[in-house]
Amino acid sequence: MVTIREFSKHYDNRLILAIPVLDLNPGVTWVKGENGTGKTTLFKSLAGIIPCEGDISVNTISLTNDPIAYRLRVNYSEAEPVYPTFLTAKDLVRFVGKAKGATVDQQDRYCNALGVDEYFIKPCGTYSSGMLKKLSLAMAFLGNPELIILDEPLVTLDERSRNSLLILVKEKTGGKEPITILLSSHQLLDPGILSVDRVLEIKNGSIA
Amino acid sequence: MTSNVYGPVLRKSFANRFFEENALFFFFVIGAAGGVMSGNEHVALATFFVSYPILTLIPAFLWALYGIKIITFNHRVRSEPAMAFIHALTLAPAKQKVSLLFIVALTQSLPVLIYGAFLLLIAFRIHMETSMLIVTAELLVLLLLVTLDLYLTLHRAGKENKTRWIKRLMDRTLIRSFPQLFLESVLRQQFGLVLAVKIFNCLILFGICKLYEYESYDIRFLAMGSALTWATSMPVIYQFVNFENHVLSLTRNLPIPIGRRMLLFLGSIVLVYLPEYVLLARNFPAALNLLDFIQILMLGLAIQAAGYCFLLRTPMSFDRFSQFVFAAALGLVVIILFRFPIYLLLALACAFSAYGYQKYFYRYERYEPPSQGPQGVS
Repeated sequence: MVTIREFSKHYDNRLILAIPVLDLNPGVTWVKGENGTGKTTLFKSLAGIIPCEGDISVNTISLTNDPIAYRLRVNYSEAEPVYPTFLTAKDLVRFVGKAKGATVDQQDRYCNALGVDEYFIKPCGTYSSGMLKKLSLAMAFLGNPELIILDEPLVTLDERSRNSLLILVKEKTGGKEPITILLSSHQLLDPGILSVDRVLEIKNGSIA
Repeated sequence: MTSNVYGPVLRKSFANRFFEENALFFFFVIGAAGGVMSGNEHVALATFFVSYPILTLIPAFLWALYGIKIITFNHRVRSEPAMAFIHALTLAPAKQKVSLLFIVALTQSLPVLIYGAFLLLIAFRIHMETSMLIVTAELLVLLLLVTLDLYLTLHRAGKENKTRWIKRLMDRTLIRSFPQLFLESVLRQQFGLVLAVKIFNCLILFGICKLYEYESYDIRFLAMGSALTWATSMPVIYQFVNFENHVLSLTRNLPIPIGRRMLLFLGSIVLVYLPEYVLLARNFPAALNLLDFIQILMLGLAIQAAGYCFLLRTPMSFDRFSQFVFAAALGLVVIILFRFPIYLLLALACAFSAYGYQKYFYRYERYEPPSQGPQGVS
């Protein structure tokens, strides 16, 4: 379970988002909100990429008190991923995979599932936005995450990859040890394809 | 008519911007040249440069660095998404394009041309015709290279980018470590900067080591030179912070212990500065001992680490960081001169780095307010 207590995030002394109490159970949580409401800021804070105030824990592992163990359990895929143009998918997947404790077999399995294997040894500078997105999504599943954060995962994805992603999400949330998946999407999520357990909306600096 | 259309756009995009963005650099050069040397000394120095044809290579070397600076700038501007329109110039007649780009190169190289003209005048006065010819040839080569590079740069968008076979082979066979990733990134993006820093560092360190052969100095002289060279290397540290936290920001989400992160940083720095370390090892003064050598190497690393932690603690623009580095370098030179123990300096820098890294790595955030310009969002 993900617990958030007294969370707040400011930019330049301006409050962007405040969450006094929020618990997220395993399953899929859809975070809605208009542009600029702070979805990505919340996601990056939860992923430990940017600092924030408050306590965030995943299954009692705290971001503040145990940053390494926390990061081992939380994976993140950006809305618009950008990587150094000279790096290949292989460089990035192997690098992130090693840090996250993913076996090479697991790395290859997710790359195959999302079609990253087709351009695995080509430099990122030659990728389309959809290819970058698939790479970012593949890396978000590496290791044994207990919270996967997917920022706009469906944008720029082709139909085949979208279906593969939804299968992976179902696999992760429907197994013996279901995990929490937090995603944002401006597109309507069809309940027939992906069952969402909870919907949250960010509005006026708070979440409900 | 057409040249009137293209000319102002090229001038504003490449020439004016070049001088605006490097205003601090030009201000520093003019201040250093005008403030340190008198008119007679300038004439004496110029006379020295043109007194033998071989000596004209000294200003030519500095002009080459300046040329690299122009070329790096032009490449960066050309690759900006907002400058995509500039490729429309490729439709203009070839003769017109070349003349327009030559004017841009001429404008960007103006400081070099002015000094070159000064050297020519001095060479004429002392009847050194060979030096005149060589200086003229050097200036022409610089202008032609900058023009040619700009011409090729602007035409590159129409060409298919192909990955070289050596890169394909490396991508297929190698798995790069973090220090290798950083090294490749900094060499690809800031090659001119790294080259200039390395040449400067090597010249200073080599020169100081050689001076020990003629005079008797203690470790302070080399420590001062070392502090100065590591301080001028700080732009590379700025690039590291940028690479780790922005270019490859996903590393912040990775479960890498703080100690290992610090080792990755030090590994990256050692890799970048390997030539300087080798040069120091090969030319280390015989008057100093092994302990001194270790202290000098460690001082370099500790200064780099302290600069890195300072940036994590207080994110800032490169210009502002440069001012701090300049002040810190002067301070270091002074306290070393006044016999502040090197080992104590080393211990302080290490303590600050260890404490700062532990405390500020996860707190780091560089917030840039949205642009308020015409295309800005609020």
